[in-house]
Amino acid sequence: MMNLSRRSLSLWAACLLLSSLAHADAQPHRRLSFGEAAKIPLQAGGRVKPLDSFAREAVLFITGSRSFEGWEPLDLVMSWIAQPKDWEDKAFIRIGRDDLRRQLGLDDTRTRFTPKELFSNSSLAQYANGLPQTQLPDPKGAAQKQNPRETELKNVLERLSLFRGIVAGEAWAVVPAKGDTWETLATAGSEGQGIRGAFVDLFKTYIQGDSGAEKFSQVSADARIAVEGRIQNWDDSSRRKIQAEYVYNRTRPYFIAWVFYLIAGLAWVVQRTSVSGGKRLGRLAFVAISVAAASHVFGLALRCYVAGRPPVTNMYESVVWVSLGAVFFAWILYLVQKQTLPLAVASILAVLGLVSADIAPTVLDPGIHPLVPVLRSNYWLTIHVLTITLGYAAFALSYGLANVTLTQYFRRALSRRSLDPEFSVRIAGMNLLTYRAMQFGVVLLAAGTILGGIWADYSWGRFWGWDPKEVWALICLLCYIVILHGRYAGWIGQFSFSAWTVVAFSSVVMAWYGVNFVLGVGLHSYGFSNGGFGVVGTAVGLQLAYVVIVAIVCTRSITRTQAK
Amino acid sequence: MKALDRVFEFFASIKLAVIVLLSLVGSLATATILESLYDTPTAQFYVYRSSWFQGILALLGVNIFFVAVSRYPWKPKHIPFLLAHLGILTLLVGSFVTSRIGLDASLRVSEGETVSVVETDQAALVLSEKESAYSFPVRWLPPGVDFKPMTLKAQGVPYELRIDRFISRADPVYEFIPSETVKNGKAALKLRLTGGPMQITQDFWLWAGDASFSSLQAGPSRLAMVSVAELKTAVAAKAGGKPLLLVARSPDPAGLYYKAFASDGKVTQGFLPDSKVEGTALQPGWKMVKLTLEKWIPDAVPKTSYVPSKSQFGPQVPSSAIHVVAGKGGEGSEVWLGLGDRAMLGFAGRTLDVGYFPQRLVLPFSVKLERFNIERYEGTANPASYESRVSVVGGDRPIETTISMNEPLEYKGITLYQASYEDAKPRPTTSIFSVNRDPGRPAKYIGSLLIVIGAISLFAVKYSGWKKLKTKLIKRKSTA
Repeated sequence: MMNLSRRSLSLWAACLLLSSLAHADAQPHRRLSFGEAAKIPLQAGGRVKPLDSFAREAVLFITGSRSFEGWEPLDLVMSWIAQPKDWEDKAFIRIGRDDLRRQLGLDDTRTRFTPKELFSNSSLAQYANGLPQTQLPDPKGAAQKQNPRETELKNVLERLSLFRGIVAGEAWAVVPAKGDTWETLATAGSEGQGIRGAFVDLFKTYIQGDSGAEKFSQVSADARIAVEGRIQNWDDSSRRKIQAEYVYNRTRPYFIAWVFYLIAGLAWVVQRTSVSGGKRLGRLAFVAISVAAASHVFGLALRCYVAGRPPVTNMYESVVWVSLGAVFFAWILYLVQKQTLPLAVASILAVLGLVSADIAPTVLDPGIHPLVPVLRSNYWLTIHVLTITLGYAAFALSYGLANVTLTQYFRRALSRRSLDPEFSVRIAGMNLLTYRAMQFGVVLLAAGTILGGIWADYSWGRFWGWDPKEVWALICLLCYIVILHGRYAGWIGQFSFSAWTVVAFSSVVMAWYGVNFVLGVGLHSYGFSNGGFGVVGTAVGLQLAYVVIVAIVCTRSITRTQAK
Repeated sequence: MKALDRVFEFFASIKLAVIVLLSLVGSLATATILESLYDTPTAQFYVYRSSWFQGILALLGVNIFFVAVSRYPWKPKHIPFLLAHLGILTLLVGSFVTSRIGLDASLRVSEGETVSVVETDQAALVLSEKESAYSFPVRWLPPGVDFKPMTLKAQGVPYELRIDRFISRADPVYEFIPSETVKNGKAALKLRLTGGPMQITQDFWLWAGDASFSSLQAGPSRLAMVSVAELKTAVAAKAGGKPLLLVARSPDPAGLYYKAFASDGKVTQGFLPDSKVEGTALQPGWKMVKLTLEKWIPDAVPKTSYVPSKSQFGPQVPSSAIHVVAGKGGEGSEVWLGLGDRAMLGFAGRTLDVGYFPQRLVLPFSVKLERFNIERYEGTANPASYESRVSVVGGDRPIETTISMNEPLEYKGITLYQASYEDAKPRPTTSIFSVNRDPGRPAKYIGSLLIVIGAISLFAVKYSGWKKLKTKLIKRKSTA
């Protein structure tokens, strides 16, 4: 049970309180350099990570945004600790669901609330005492979906308790211990004396604000060295990992990637529609997509190095990976067919993927978390998941290409021009690109699904268990196989082929997103989450509506031309 | 002959293939939605294990077989097509073999124990009388599906025995009835408590025969059935400032002693003869709570029955229960059995031992758990990995090995996988293995390989189609 009542301040917090009596409105510290403080190692969420990552995860979880009101996450967390009084009346703790806000009798129009409001909310306190103890996660990873409002309620309580823990020094374990579990400054005994002293110095300097800017880096480094000095087996490789994670956090490689993908995509679009400057635009696009892909690969490689595993264990990672996969297949098609269309389409797909990974951190959690036992260090599992997601990437590319083809038809029909042979050949060429991408997808998805079976057989003793994720991968495969057979039998013409390719991608969306976020049952629950249903559902609905509209318009235009 | 040709053509047609594939897509999607709305057993009953779904899979197999035959005599250009399609056929056959004669069970063993019995997820009614024993699988049905009574005599049992009722997810209801055969001296008392802010009425049974029934907690108050001597010596300190009621059965004078402590220390006590117990309201001076003695049975035996559980779907549902009737039924010759229950049934001068258990099988060897190890992620309670140190006893040669998440043990064609464990403090000591024998495995692996090779080669050959179009494109451009 969670205790929301205010406990007596710990020794640690008492040290700090003395220095924070000078009460003022907390402001971001623009002139402080957090580079050293960011790299202080601490233990949280089952691994040792830099303070920077801890702060980012905490700020995202508590406020629901990456940088609350322009605060650097680490600055914000340090401010909470050093100036807790200044934050009591600031609304920064997120409650994401309006039904929950109403249930708690809170202002329905706000999404963030002050600690005072929430700590004094009697219904919240009641729920806190009534909640069942959190269950240990199932070792196999099996889970059932929960009521989203209850999940949010649990999250709100956890946000409060995390905030309390951060302020009281109970939530961040910075005192390395002999065993596996590090101590916090609040719980550590005499062995934490040195580190505690270093942190008190750090926060005292922090409170001086910009006037202590020069000293701040020095005391930060002292605190980092004090912690590192007590970690057993701390070596260069551990230090490099912390450094790498810090760089990963700071450089935002996917942001750079999507900006350049956007430039590349736009350049190609303009090149196609304009007459002059084609060569230059083409060159620009190639440079931009190369920079984007390099940054994309760099980000993923860094993440793999930090996490020590391949990047496809949650939704966020798979979105980033699939975006890269689409670009990869577009390069292959470009190299083989010498056509830039796939590259243009893949750039736009990558922008969509990376932007959605970037703007919805509460749905697609960007944190690096430990894995459930069954997913750990398994070669076949890695191959299986990478193969399947690459299959999704190829389908995404075929989906994008088919959409371009559909749009060609649409424009042709709207401009009331006839479908002359030259147009038909162009369409046939584009459809062959789509078909080629689909072939990659079918082979990879079939192989990946079978590899999944082999892996499951090897580690669980069953090849196939009708698990929802397996089943939806199979449904996907069957949908595309139906299209391939229909095409082979001649029932599906050029237009229907692109239309059905677009429609079939909804099965990929279901297998990829829907099973984890909508169905929420089965053994692949390590990726389970909530949210985004409205957006994804609307997107799929709009896409299907577009296909229907294009189909209707084109059929009419064909009958009209025939009547002429 | 012509009709036969047409049948052949139909079974080999691409039209049938598309129909079968689309109906597979539809039924699979439905199954996953069912599973999300209800639970896994329900989805399995209605789709995956249903005969019509098996029928669709069989039809797919037939279709593939005929289409492969229809291309005969095979030429080199057919190889990719044949590989992919025969691969699917092989995979289907392998899966069929697994589902028919494969073994899928689980084995639970604690440290130091040696176990050779495994349990499957199929429940069975087991009955034995002296030397002879029988076992009948009872197929699980989801809530809302009618159960057809099973008459076991038709299945080779020399008695009149039948299962007339089945509850998919059953909660036990405990009741007590007078013991007819012997005066066992174990009294049962049904108490009614009315009170609390909502004036809720609730009935409780106290029974002297079992520790789990002799004492209970209702809100802050505790109720217990003790011996007369214990009752007489009990003092207020025992209650510890909380409401406490003690009752005891007295054989002579025949009746019930009671002693109640209120939270303010007030003691109420007295004696009620057997005939006066029922209907008496006690006045122990407890705040807000009224106490009535509803039923008094000086010599009682428990009678368990089952009712459909309130939680019918989801991950935490109770298991099933059956009602077994021998002969014409009636007292002593019919019984409710929950999964794991066992009882004696008497009828026509016989005594039958009946039980309702997960079907059990005996392995040709035994497994001894030497030690269970678990590693957790640093600073958390989340497991990072776990493994079992086991030794195999009774085989041809003694084996000692470690079974971990991705490292199973294979012995005598049977494979043991580390599936799970029972969590306990300070550390878990009971390991759960999944035990498999899969004769369909080679077919499934060969089929998988063929499918992948087939699909790749199919598309590689189709690549020539692209070249043709490209030349066409170039031609058109040059003429334009």
